[in-house]
Amino acid sequence: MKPILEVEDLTVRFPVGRNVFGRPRAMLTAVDHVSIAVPRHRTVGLVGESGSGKSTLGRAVLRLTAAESGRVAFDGVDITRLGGRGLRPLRPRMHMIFQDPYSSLDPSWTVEDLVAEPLGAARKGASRAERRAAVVEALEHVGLSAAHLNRYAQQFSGGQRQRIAIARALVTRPDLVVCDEAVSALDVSTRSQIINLLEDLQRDFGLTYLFIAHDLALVRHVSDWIAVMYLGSIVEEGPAQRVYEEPAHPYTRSLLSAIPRLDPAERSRERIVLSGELPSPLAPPSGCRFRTRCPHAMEVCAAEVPPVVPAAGGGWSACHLNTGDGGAAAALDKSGAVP
Amino acid sequence: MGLSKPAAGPLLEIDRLSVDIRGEHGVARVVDEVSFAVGPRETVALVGESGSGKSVTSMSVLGLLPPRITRTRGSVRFEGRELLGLRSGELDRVRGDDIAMIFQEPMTSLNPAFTIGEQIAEQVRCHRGVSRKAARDRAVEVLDLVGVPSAAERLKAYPHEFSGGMRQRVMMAMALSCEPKLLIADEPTTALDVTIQALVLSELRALQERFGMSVLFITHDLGVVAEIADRVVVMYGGHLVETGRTAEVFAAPQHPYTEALLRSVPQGDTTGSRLWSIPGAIPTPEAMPDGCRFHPRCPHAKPGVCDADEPPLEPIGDGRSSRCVRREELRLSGIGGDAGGTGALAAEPLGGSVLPGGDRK
Repeated sequence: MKPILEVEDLTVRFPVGRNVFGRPRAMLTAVDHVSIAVPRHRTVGLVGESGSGKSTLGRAVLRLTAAESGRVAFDGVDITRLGGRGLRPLRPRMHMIFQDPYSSLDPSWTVEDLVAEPLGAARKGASRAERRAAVVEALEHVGLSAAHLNRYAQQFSGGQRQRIAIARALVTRPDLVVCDEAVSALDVSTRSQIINLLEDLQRDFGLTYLFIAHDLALVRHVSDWIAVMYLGSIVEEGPAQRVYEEPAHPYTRSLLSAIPRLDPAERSRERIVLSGELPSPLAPPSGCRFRTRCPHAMEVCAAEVPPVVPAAGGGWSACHLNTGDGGAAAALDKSGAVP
Repeated sequence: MGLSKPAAGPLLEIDRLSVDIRGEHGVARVVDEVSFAVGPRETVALVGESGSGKSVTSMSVLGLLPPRITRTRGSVRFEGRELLGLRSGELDRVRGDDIAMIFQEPMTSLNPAFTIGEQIAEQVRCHRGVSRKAARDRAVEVLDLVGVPSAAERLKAYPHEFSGGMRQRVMMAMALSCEPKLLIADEPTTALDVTIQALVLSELRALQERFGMSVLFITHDLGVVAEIADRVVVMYGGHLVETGRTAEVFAAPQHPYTEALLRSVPQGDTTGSRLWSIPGAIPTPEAMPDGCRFHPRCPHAKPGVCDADEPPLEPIGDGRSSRCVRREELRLSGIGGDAGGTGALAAEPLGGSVLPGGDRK
């Protein structure tokens, strides 16, 4: 089956600052020639530090941000250049859940209005009763009920608000949901409730998730496939298990090493400490972008962009360390063949 | 807990601290008879979810709560000296001199209109009474210490010119500039990436070893607690539910809430299984349940026992205490415990009278 979402060579750039003539001073490359595929009914996790471009990529695949070049195909349809009219029938099939349920839900709207809003575009001409029935059904799927219809978002706790946001995403029966740090703002105990709910809904409705988060332990739990982003590019991807057990890129290794362990006995473990911080995306380093912080940086890293090398156990990484004999030449199918 | 020998006694001793806050719906008790101590060179983590009262507890130590709407009772002693009720001038000397505080969002604690150098130097001059030159040198020294590269040049930079991780290090530099005996850190790494969090935590550990400072670390992240704290104090619904040494509490928790928190954190490969979760939501001070405050969400709650009287926080030996009446009959599992233990039931999909995931109807 064809992946529901295919991103090919996608580049997103933003103008930064304007001079007195209104011309941008510089262009910031947030997503730089990224390709990724999200298979149907699966969850692809996207991890990386803030500034890595993971949220921009999430917005670009839903056409909430314009791409400069490259291609986004949703269910086989190239949506990169579609106009408003062309996008309209596709909009109900893709949705986004944001991090902050406090700012993403308008406090002056009732729960019914909030959840019904996406229906506006999808079901013109549906009667009030039909709309209400759809809203109640969506609420029930997320553990709320008709009793909540006339309440306002501010009357709910953080976890409940995120349930409303999920009901909103669910009401149009989408195929693809982009979760952008959807549980990051929630408390530990509520967070796992919402994760369990998202997994139930995926099973019940055959949803596909692009799950963007910085909490690597959670991403491992929910994802089938994981892509690691650094400064606008994907540096490694592969099956979740493989990426966590045998990370192939030094950046992935350092990210994993930085996760706090729950066992105090591991406090004295060796950590891979990254020097410095993410370089400015306005002036990314030459060659491998990670080289300025990489503990293994070599001369070749500054000179050449590292080639994509397949990883044993699935997926690939882009690092000069992994270009052994024959490795570099291997042609790769990056179309995200999740087993 | 009394001070038997003042010399070996705790640096900070909080004794039956209660805080009432007046709000729209009347007066609410957000901190209820909290007692714990922080010893010299010790790191104590105050753990809880939002609404547990952990931040209010830490703010009341430094008298940072608005006096018009709060009433604080009990005792907060620093080196044996009572801090509650100190006049603001006296409190100013303690703040910064002996006790420093850093917060989650450094941007709101730094003044955007002054350079980093000016802000650190002013702090030093206020508390040390040294010359401008000496204060400036000290600023370079502390920035260097917390790992801000080319510190001398960065003195002229404004807060907005720093990244989040760098700002947090600037805050640490400011807090450390007067070599405080106690650092209160309220979620200092929560807004940072894991990589930067790891750096900040290791800086903090190194500085602590160097200066022999004590740290009161407020966090909801148990991973961070495992990385940094000698002892842990767990808060729920405004009061303490469990205290003890981190390794022991994590290995064998003595309160179901601690167990639930530990098990909510996915560890290793959990793909395909459901995450452990706690039904319902944390109670508000206006609607505190009768009996044990955790019982409506507790998988081990027993009708007639847990919903009757509020259990006391009881010492259970080895410097530990717990507020669970059923603790002896329960075999709670900690980290590395078997995944299908006593509470496995609670990991089942939730339903029934409790709404999965939020407030109760």
